[in-house]
Amino acid sequence: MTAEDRTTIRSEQGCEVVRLHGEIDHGNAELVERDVLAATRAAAGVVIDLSGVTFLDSAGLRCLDHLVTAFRNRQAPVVVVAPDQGVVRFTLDLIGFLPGLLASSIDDALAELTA
Amino acid sequence: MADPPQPADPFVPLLEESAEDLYEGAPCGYLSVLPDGTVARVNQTFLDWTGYRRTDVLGHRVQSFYTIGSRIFHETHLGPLLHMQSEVRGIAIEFRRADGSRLDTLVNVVVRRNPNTGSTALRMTVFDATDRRSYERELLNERRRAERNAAHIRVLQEMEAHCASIDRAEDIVAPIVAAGTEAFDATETAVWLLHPQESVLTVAGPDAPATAPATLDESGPEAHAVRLADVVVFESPGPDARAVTPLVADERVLGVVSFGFPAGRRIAADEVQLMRTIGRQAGQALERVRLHEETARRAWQSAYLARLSRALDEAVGSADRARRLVALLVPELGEYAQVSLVEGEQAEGTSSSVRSPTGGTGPADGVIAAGSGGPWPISAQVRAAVRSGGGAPVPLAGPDGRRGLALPLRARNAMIGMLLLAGEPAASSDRSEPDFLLDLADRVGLALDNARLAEQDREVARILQRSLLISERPTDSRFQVATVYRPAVETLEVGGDWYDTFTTSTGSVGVVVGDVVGRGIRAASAMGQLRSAVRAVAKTRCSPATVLRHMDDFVTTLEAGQMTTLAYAELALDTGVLRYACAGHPPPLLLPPHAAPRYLWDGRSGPLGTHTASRSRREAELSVPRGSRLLLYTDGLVERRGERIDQGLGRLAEALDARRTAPLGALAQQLSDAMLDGEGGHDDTCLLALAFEAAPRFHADVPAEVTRLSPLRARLHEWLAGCDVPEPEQYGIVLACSEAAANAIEHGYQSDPSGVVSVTATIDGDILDLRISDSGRWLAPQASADRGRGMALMGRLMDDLVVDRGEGTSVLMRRQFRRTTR
Repeated sequence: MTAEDRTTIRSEQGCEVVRLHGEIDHGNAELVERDVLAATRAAAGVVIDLSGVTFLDSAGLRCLDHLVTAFRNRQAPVVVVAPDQGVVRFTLDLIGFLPGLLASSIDDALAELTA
Repeated sequence: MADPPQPADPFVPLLEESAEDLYEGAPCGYLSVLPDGTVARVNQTFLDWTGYRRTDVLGHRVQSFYTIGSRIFHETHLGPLLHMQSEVRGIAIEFRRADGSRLDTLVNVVVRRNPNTGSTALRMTVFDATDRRSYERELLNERRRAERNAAHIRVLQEMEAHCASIDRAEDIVAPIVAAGTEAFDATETAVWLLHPQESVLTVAGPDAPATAPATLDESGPEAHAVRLADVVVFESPGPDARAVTPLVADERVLGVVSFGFPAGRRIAADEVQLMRTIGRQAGQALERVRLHEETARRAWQSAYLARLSRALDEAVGSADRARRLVALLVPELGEYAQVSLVEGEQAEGTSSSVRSPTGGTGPADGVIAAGSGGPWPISAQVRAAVRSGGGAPVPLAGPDGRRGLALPLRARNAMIGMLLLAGEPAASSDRSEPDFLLDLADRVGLALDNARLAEQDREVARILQRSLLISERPTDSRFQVATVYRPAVETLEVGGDWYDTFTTSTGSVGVVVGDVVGRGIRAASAMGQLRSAVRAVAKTRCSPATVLRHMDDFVTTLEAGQMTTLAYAELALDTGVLRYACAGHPPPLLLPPHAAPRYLWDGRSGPLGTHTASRSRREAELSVPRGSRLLLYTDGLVERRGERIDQGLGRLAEALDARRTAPLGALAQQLSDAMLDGEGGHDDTCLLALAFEAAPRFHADVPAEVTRLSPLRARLHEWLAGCDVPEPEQYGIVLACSEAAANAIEHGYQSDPSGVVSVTATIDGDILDLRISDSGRWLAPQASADRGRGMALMGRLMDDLVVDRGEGTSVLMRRQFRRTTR
């Protein structure tokens, strides 16, 4: 899977929406992290959309961790989108990860960032 | 008779006559004629006969009293003859009387010579020959007539001989025309045949001119002769004369012969008589030929109908029958035939949307045709005409202008379709007469309808059976069931075979295969009831023998269930104890995991509903190892014509042994195919295979590369789904496994791809055991937040987590999941 397939980035309402696809595991988490950081500019806010992610393991969690930290360092507020009932939300909930940064949809996330 | 007359006294005076008186009153005419022909003397008799006065005659030449012909005869014959021989006798001379009429006479002439003077005179005696001449004339006429009669008789005989040798009605034309020409010198002879049903005369014969048919009420001589039933002669006023004689047989007029003549030709009475005779003889010949044709036609028709019926009976299904029908109709009865079956128009309001079971063109799909130039569209008008026509053929014109006939196909007081025939039949057009077509259409209608009803029955039975056979089936990872049902191939008919699987309240799985006697709806519905009954009885804590006893009771209320055979077995899933009983049914076949297949011959008793059997229901019990397979089947699977049943059982055991490692579903299909291969399939068959599974096990050896994690997860996911692990559980198990494997790769092998991570999973009931092993050397555990997170995930996903370090490292995890689809 190429970086382009895994990651798509677009601008919306002054925020950057980073959409991740497929599996994020020990095999590719570091690549995903690098791709996303390289492709994003400092923005008013960043949405990391995990709606298209079908698998997320502890390496994926670490990747998210690093991304959130990096965006915060760039002074950009971050919201992570993980649909309720999805497998990603299942993993995040299981480990109790980033509860304050989670949103159920992109609209919710954008609303939170632009409020 | 009285005495001959005596010369009596009263005549005496008459006999005493003077010579003068004798001369004048002689019974012949007497003329004395001078050599130049001048009459010198004449007696009274001649004057009386001719009506002349004496003075009219004397002094005139005798020739002047002749008719012209006699005068010439006198000059050319009589004169020279007298000159040569002085006497002639018996010469026929015709005198002209005073009133102009003719007097036929015979004349004797003698030349008298006066020796003294040397002069000569003629003495003529004249005898009245009127009677004689007319007699002669009559004789001549008679002879002519006799000659003509002889010719006529020859004509008649020739015609009769010709007529006797023909066997087609139209062949009668040629001999009649020949007779007309020969007997009457007719310029034209035409034969018109009467079509009894249509009351129309048409000109017959191979060279018949295209003359419009004549109806019987026309004024022409032909129609007149038919009405009159006798010869009609038209001598005027037309430009030509015409005589028409009816062709008569048994007082019935079959047609007429019309002879044409040049204008002015008179038709003699004997010719009329001959025409009449010709009409009779030809009429009888025609009648004979028609009878012959009729007989031949009837014979052909009944043979054809028989052939048709046979052919239709051989086909299964109304669509197949319709296809056969049109194939047989062309070219025998026409150049094109088409059948369209009406759908959903039965007299009763029953649904009839039956599709062809063979998947071919169903009767509902429209038109089935044979021959060229189809299909013909049938207008609603024609349809209505056919429907209301009472079975009579309805003529119609096709798209290419050809003429056709539409016939209703009827059965059971309803029109089930329409048959269309177009073009000429192969042989004689008489073949397709309306009565015959009607008969044919009725037979065909019934045959098609029977097929349709049979299809309907089959379809209902099939639906019934399918609905019963494909009902809910228990799922449990500890056993697997595969089934095959095949209807009888020859008839596509559903029988009463059934199978069933269910779990009992004691944690066993019950399997049953049964066979109800008979076929069709009755058998299928009996089967349905029996199946439900077995299920209901066996689900409670019943032993197999008790199940059979209950079923014995049950079939006393179900006549169609009598003599049903069945095999019932239940397998305790925890212990592997198999209990079974056979009621008149072929024995179950057991295939242990590492041994040859063997039939289970114990636990046998008779079919359901038999008294002796019901008193001695038996069952048997044995323990079967995990991995065993058990086969239940109906007799159709092992019965083959010309083969003993034990041979069939031997074949089945061999076939099973040869496929012992095949997946269960494929095994059932393959066994069914192998056993029924080459066999007509005269019976339906049913096969049920039960696998007592060893605990399901997953194993994978994965090279120590993180990119291998994704394929590993996919495989494990698939296996879990196959083991009916509930969907929500699957993701957690896969995640835990992936984390453990990732740890082994990263920490055990430091991502050295030559290392191998071994993953094993087993499921027993609803317990999953997962083991991930590596043979790497772990560095001292780092207090890394990442790794801790992985372990935390595993710990939360699984019920138990044990890390076993020895030669390498094994992570053991266990999870009890909730089955939701029980």
